[in-house]
Amino acid sequence: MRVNAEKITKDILDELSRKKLLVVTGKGGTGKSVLSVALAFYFAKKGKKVWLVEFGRKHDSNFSRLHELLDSAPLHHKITKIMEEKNGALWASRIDPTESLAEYVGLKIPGGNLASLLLKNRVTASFLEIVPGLLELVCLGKLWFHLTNKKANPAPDLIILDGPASGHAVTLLHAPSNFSRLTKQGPIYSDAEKMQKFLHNPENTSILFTSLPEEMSLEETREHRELLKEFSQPLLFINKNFPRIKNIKIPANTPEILTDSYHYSQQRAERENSAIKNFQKETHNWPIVNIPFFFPDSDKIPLAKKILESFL
Amino acid sequence: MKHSMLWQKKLLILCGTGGVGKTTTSAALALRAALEGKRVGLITIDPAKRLANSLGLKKLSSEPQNLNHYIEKTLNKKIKGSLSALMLDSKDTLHKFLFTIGGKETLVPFTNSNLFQIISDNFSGSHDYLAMEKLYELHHSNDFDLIVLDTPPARHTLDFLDAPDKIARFFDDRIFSWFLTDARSNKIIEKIRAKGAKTALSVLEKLTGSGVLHDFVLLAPHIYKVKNSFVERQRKIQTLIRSDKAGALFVSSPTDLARGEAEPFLKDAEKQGITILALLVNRSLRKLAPITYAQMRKQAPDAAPELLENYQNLRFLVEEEEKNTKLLEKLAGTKYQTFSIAEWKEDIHDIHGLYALAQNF
Repeated sequence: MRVNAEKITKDILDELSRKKLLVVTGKGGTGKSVLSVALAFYFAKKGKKVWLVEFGRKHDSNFSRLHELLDSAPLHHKITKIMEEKNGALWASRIDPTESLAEYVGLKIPGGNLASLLLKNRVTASFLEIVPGLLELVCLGKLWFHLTNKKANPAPDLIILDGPASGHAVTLLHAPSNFSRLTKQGPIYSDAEKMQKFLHNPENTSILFTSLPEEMSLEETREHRELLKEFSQPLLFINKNFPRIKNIKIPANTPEILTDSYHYSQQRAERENSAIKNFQKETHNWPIVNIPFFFPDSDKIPLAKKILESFL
Repeated sequence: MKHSMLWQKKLLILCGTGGVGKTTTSAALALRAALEGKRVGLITIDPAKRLANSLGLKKLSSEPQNLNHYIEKTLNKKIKGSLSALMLDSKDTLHKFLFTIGGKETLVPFTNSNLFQIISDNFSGSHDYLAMEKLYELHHSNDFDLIVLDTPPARHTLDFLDAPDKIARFFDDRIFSWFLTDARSNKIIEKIRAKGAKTALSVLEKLTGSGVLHDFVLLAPHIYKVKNSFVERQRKIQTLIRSDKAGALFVSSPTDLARGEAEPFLKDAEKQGITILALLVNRSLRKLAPITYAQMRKQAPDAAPELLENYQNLRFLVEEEEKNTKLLEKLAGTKYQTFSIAEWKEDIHDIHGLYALAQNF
């Protein structure tokens, strides 16, 4: 089954390169950011104008590691240019919900300083905080605007969203449909409707899940998918597949530690393999890309680059 | 009994980045405390079913489910204390709160509101507030000696501590009273006298249409009736979390990634006034590859290359672990205790696995 693995990966990536928005999500610690960075470089090198984004407020940016993976200064709402070549380019941003809201208000109600009034007035500011999903909606809306509006600058070919972890991603991706449940009036509603169509259209949007090759992690991926049923078939990247060692006969005089470490690795690879097989059976063969386990050896090559090279 | 200080508090909060085994560790610790004689309530804020899975159950409800019979049967062992587990459900918790405060009469206007339906969804931002409410309920039930709280990953772990302030800000009378107007009138905004608020609300209405604001104004007098109780309960739990009756265990893994989150977390926790009980390095591989690769080559020069290569790979992981453990210990200084737990032998998805893990504490 692994014979064609490389070709399958290439076909999958080719297909992804035709999309406009890739949303990467999965539970914490499964490699969302590293995969987002690897994919961003991959498509930029193939000649795409790629914009890699994460959502977050300024005040908790010390938890963000995306810029370290990009080997750049901390990211801001405004674009940081990471790489620009003849055709392809890679830009990155940390999109701030409040600034996105201000931009949106500015677009819809031009003139005057109404946006800042709305955000500074204590009554409306607190109201905006509690309208469910509104801030998520304007962040997503910003991406949608840059992908669909001719006047938008920058105008990327592809946006990769290094998305939030499981539950928060559900909140984010449901923001447009939740808003439509609240009201059927006003510009936010009509934009939310269009965004929802954009997000549900498999030609535009793909959700990429990340998981570890462990039973619990895969089970959670399945639960997560259930909550996002209305989106097209997601693609699953299984990260950190432990290498399988050839079966060998161990001579009697081998030190115990060496034998034990061999058995540990064998069992771990075996356990992972059966967890993935079970998962495939239960999900009727979801498309999967397996990413190898990269040991933290002394070569100093960044992890995202190693993953990128495994794609090439 | 090395770490019995972990279950001497009334509330034990497990924090840490994703993928380090926080939920499983919470369950193992709760089981251990129950075996030691505590009446334990184990609660997860994470809407995923992971806690249920690690206990070998299909699902958990939002009310404490006593697991003694199930555990005793599985382990063939008596539990001195008790273990009850639950998974937070926003909607149930909010409904229960409203009903407790004022019965059906109070609850109905809320359940009829569209806005309320969405706000109380599990995946709306209200989850944190309701986690606090649930903690209040559990703490004041007097059913438990110890509550073990499994939080969502680090980036959001301490967000829920801001919940009481945020909600109090919104419910501040000076602001909230703007919304206490007659909803039967279609001209809500006209009734508002302050000019700034008037203009700001008109801008808002232009964006969202009048529906959302109207829904809110309909609900506002009902919110007004219950808000003080809600805020008060939030505050009481906040006080408990910051008191010496509560403590946090930071769970990390031997990787660079998990350790990197420790520093901002500890800073944040100290600023918030949270007692940190210990730092835990989970799933340590150290015992698997205790000597260096060079030493191993010397000891077994003729071993098969596959064996040696595998050893070298594991050694890379152990070296990363040693580096990170040192960094964590340095970070902890003399203030906090650091300890590690060896790599689990299998995926833990039942009571037997948890029991084995619980022996580490």
